[in-house]
Amino acid sequence: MAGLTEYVILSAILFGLGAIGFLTRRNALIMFMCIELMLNAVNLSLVAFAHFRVDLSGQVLVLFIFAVAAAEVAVGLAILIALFRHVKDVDITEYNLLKW
Amino acid sequence: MSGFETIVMYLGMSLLAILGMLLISHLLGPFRPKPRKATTYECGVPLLDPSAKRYSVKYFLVGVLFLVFDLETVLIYPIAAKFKDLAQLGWGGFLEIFVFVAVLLAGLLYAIEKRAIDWD
Amino acid sequence: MDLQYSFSLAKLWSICGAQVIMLLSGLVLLFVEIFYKGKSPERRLSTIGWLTTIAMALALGHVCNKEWNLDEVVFMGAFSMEKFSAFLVAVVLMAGIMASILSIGYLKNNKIYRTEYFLLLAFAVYGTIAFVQAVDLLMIFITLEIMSLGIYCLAAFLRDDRLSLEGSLKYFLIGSFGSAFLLFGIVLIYGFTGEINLTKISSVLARAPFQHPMVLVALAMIMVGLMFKISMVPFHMWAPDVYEGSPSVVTGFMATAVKAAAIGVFIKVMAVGFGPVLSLSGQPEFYANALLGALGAYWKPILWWISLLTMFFGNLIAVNQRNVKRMLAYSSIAHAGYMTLGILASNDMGRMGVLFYLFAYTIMNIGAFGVIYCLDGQERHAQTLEDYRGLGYKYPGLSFLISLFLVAMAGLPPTAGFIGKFYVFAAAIRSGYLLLAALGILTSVIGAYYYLRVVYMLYMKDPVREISIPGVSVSTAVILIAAALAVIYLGILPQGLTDVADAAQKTLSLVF
Repeated sequence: MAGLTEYVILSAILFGLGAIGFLTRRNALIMFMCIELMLNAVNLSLVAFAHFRVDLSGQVLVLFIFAVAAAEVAVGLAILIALFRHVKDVDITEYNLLKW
Repeated sequence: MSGFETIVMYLGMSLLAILGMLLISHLLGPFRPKPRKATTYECGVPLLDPSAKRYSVKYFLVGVLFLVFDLETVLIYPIAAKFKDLAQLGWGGFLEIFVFVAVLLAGLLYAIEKRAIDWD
Repeated sequence: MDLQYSFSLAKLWSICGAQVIMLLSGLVLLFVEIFYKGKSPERRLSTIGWLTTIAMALALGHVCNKEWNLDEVVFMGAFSMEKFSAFLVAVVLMAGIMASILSIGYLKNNKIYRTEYFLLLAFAVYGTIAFVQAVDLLMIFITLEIMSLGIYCLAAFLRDDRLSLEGSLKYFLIGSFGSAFLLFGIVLIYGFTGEINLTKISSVLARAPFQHPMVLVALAMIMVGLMFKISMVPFHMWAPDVYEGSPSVVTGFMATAVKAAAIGVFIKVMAVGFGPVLSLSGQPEFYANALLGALGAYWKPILWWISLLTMFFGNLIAVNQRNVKRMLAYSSIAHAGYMTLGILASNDMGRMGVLFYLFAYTIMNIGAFGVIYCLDGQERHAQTLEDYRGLGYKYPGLSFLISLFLVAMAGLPPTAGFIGKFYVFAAAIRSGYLLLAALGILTSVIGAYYYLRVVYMLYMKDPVREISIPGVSVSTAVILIAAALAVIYLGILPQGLTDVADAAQKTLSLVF
């Protein structure tokens, strides 16, 4: 039976993986996925906390985060597709007109 | 042994329901076979084609709208689960759900009127 | 959710009235946008633009009349409307009104007749107001996202322009990254205290061992998440790209309203959720020990360095910029640094100074971006320093206005910028941050160089290429002139606004 600590550590690891992935990958879509991974890591620890505290508000929070994440992805993908029409690539190193 | 009878009854009922549905659709439905209809999954998408295929951008738009509205409805579940407690507080809770659904509905109407989900 | 809060429409109206107005008018605008065809695209654009402006003006009127004096300031434990929030809401609405009026002219100049712009603006303003008012960490996250999503779309609004989209995508990626951090911090604090409401968090923390590593990590992550939005160094990387890429008026809005809201929430979260000293010993301790009480030992040194880096980095790199919008982006990073100084000082004067600074900064920044769009004509037609050469004689009015706004940003008397900087630096010195204040003044001298260089280009150089700009509409001119008058008026007679700002910051403790 995994305890609260294990869940929190797991979610911290997932969050870290997401953050590292975001910082190292160059594909914009994979970066989106890394952000999703980070948000879901947060969800995991939220559910764990809510379960061990026997508190419903944490679990409701998870649903809110789902909804927000969905809206975020919708907007992000729309921007990416609009940009793709100009650049024909999802490699973020190609988006280099704006610098310094 | 108690409880096992219910499972048998359940399985029998579902079998009957399936057979009944097949029978009714066989009796009532017109039978006009086409090659496209005879494929394994009859959902309008070709079964075998290259994976690196170009999709229409409209598909994406519908997909995104589906994603958003699908996940927004998730927020109604906790209200449903707690509705008894909420109802004791008077109409406030109901008003909240009403406003929430109204906002969603406004978004949906906007999407429809902007022809976001028209394919052509 | 716990059901201890009682719902009443009257409370909703008195506390969240501005939000309700913005949300309802946003929904009404949705249908106006669909069904109103208009005689011509221009007419349609200006009608919807003015409707948006009127909605914001109504909300502003509601805030100024009704929400300034409330007995009960918290609505269902989620939103608060004490004078501190009311002040910031008013600043945000002011920025929104100016931005939406300027947008009409901007969109016409660029021949964009898509009126979704104003819907996005209305909802972004709604999100920003709610963000300022939120006292619940969940609400802070959700409203932050509502605000940001609106702004991402606005930043990408020139969809045939690659720079606009590129900036927007960068903003989106980094903004979501930042809000993930904020969220993780929120969850950790929820895990530790079992509460998501700031007031309850503070009372739980007061009884708990608040130096627990989990609290400190949560504190750090929430700070990072908000710093991304305020664009403090080292979380500023998106700002120059986004500010340069976005439509000028949107840049003006997000440089002011979003920053004002994020700084307000920063003060609120730090002062409230993480201020256990307040709950232990009450009011006097709160004001004497100020922000964050005992946890201050952990975050103040960090904020010291961040403030210093933000001021230096923003000002130094701005010197090297050729594009005026990009230069103002770095300058807005530097301004965030000055405001951080006021947060760090965390005395009455510091908070008052930050509020005053935000007000003045909002006016002069939107004013400056307004002039930039006028001189620009079509986006990216003329926005480099070379393009500005010699414009002072060709377009004396606009050149005078932008010179005034830039002088105000440089912090020269007698402008509002000077007064704001004066209070912030004075507060920092009073709290004993003498070295930091001295370094800050040094950076602001560097700042004066690049602001005044634009003025020099306008008046002292000969033009290298012909710049022709379309006429400036009456409404735009009125807004710009009003902003200029306000900048000068606040520079000469700041007393009225400082009193209001002081009253506003004193009520911060009412929420708790």
